[in-house]
Amino acid sequence: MAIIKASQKVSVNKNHRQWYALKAKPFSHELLTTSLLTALGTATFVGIHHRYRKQRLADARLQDYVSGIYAQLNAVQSAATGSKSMLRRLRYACKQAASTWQQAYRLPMNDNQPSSRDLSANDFRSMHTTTMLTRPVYWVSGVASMPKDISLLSESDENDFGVVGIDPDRQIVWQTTMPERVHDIVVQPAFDSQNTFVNHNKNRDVVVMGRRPSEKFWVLDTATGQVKFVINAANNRHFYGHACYSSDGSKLYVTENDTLILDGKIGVYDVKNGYQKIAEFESYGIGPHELIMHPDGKTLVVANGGIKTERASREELNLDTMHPSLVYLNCHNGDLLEQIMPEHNQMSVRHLAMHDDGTVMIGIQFQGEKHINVPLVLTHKRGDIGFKPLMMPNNQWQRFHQYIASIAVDSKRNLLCVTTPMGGCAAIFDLTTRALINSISLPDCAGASVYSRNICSGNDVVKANIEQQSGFIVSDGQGQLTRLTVNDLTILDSELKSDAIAKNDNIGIDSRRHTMSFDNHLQAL
Amino acid sequence: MKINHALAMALSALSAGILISCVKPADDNKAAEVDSQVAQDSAELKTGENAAVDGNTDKNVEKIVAVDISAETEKTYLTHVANEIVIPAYADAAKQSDLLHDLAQKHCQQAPVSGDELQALRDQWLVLAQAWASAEMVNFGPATASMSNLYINYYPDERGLVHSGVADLIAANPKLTAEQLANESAVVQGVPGLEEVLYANDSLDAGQCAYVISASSALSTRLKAIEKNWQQNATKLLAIDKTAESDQGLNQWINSLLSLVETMKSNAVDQPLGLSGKAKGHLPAATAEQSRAIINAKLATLNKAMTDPVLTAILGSNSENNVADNLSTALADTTTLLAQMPEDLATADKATQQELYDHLTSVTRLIKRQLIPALGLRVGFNSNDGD
Repeated sequence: MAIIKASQKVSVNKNHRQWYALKAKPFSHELLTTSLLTALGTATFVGIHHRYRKQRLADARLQDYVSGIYAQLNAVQSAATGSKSMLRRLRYACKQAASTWQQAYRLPMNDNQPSSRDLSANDFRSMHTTTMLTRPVYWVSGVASMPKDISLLSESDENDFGVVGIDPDRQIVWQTTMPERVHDIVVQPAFDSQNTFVNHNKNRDVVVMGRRPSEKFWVLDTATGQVKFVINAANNRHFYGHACYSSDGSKLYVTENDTLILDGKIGVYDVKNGYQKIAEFESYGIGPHELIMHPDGKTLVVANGGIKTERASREELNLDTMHPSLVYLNCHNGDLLEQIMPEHNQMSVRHLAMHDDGTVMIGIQFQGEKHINVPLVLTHKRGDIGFKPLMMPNNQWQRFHQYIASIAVDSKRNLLCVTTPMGGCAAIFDLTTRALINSISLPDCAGASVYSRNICSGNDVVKANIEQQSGFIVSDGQGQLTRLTVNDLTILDSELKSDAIAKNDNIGIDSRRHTMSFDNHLQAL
Repeated sequence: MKINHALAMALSALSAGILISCVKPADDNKAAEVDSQVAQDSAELKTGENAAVDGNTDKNVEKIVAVDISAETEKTYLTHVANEIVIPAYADAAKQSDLLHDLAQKHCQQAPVSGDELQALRDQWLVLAQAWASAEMVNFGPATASMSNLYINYYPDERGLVHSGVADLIAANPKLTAEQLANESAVVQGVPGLEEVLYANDSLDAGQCAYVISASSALSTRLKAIEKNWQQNATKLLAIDKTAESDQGLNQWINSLLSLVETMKSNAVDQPLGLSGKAKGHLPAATAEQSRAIINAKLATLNKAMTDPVLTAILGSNSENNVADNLSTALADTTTLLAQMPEDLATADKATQQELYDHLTSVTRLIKRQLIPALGLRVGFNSNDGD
């Protein structure tokens, strides 16, 4: 505080001297100088903005700025409300600029600096609209077509992407607007691999990744949905949609793309230091997508999708020559521990889930000819020579339309759930027999998560009953959150051998509908 | 720092801020289009690039008000969709395949087949291809289960597998039967296989004749099985019995129509013509050089579904919306433009190709931003554009 006051005094004296010096010069000269400097400064700012704009929109032109001014002036003249809209946009632009400035120059934050953290949070609160109820959150998901609080409509109609927190009754607890479509949502762990309590629930972070390729990720507060930080990608890097925390929640690992040489990278971010990037590893492949922590707490498991895309583009450049892989990395130094390739070079290794016993569950997206039948759900454990496919009746993997969107594992009951929006269904496998239990028609479904066994506290009988019925929750683009419970795990040997489709009544279905579209991933807290 | 420097910096930041904030709305609209996403608030619909529909939407700048649809009305509409739109579409495709089969049996009694007889077969193939193009609007249910639709229409064939696959199959099986063909790869079956044999040859020999007879027969069998499945399971497939508790069936049907336009726009226009990137794939019915006919059939189907009197009545129950009129006008404009283009869209000039693409974009936007909100539904997106 004393330092700030001292510097203010010096600054005041200096300003007085400058004022007198200015008075001594002809006013017109000063006016001309100021005007020229203003023009130069404006041109510089606009030039920088245009450079980044050009990367996002190929047909962006400098004259768009002039056209924009004319359009806004016309809008102001034609409607009284136009000025309000323009001011709102201007205010948003100013807030963005201010927060970016602050992000760029902010000091490392830790728990001993509550004031700087609060200031940052307040700023982001004003840029993202959050509405919330005081209820516990059990899942988080990205959404589109998010309805707005009617009282906030005039302030928040810039877009309709967002993130929502969901309670045990599958009701929305909080919703926060996002400026772009989001992909993975990652929750900071509460317990590490030794089951030691490392973080109180109400202080946990949720990281929201932008959809591939993205230049941002956001850090939200789990309980309230308030945005705490916005992290920008480093130069020549794009985020690739997924992230995971270290077992103790102190580091965040993010899949990234080197936009110059198009190689996959893993960015390492220090959570306690305001998510500043502290290291970068090779992903040992192209197009890394999902990554997860191994239960040993030391190993990072990365799905290298193998698909090469250019800067800010989703167009696949190498489908014929792609080489996807699953890699195990030392999470401390990035050393390659093991790398496994699928049987067909166009089986893009995309989505992962980790069984408590260290077996990796893998969802494939096949990029080859549509009529080729390849296994789409595989497993791998450290030391295995290759991937092991699960079993489909009649080996008919085309039921999933060559595309697995999400994968979730219930280690306790040894069950696996996969979703396929292209195939319009969710399927549950028994990991003991490795056979399909059944698939359920769920149009546009994508997100999958375990239906938490700890949702209901209370007497032991009720808890045991809930545990017995626990299963999965699946979200879809048509607004449903569907609970799937496996009623009967008994699959006759004859059914397995005859490739018969499992009976339809062994999975319980219970849907709850919302007026929004749930995006690719759903994560349990 | 001098005062005028500080003043200049502040003024620079202010003026740059104003310029940037003014250009931002246009950028946001462009970015939203790239992601094929919806801005639900139709009040901010209008941009310069929307010129194709702006004439229609000027009067619809107000917010879209959702129609109140009772469970009974929804049930009536979905039953109507199943009985009057979906099942007849599959029935017609099966009928046209039967007709091709009968014609092939008639003309193939004495191979080789050429001249008027071959032309008659080609004409009937085109009617069949259009009938299937119409039925493809239903992108859920038995036709798409386990990708079985690939056995009817292997499209797009990006690596040209149909051409060599069919030739090799005929060479290896000069007396091919429908039963044998049914067990072969999807690549050598259905509408594209028949197109290959009928259009890539100036005359048909005995082996090619046998293929046409077998392929049309196998196709009829598949199409009739789909039709029968729909007749037996329409209630379940369109969730007609669940209208009291959810709008699942209506949501799936309308999103299926939206998917039809988006897939057509991307796979059958944008990518093969290389309008927004490197050319990829091929036009529908490219060997027959009849891409216009296929797209026209899809548009006609869409028009039939969108101007359906039962749907129009539902939309008309809310006098605040002009959704049905807007859609009808946009589809009519697109059809008129298409009628002025050559049979093979690849030979049209780039500007007209782009205009067709823009018209389809306009139709997509109207469905997303007006029709779907007016029906109180949600735009699905994972099945079109995942990651």
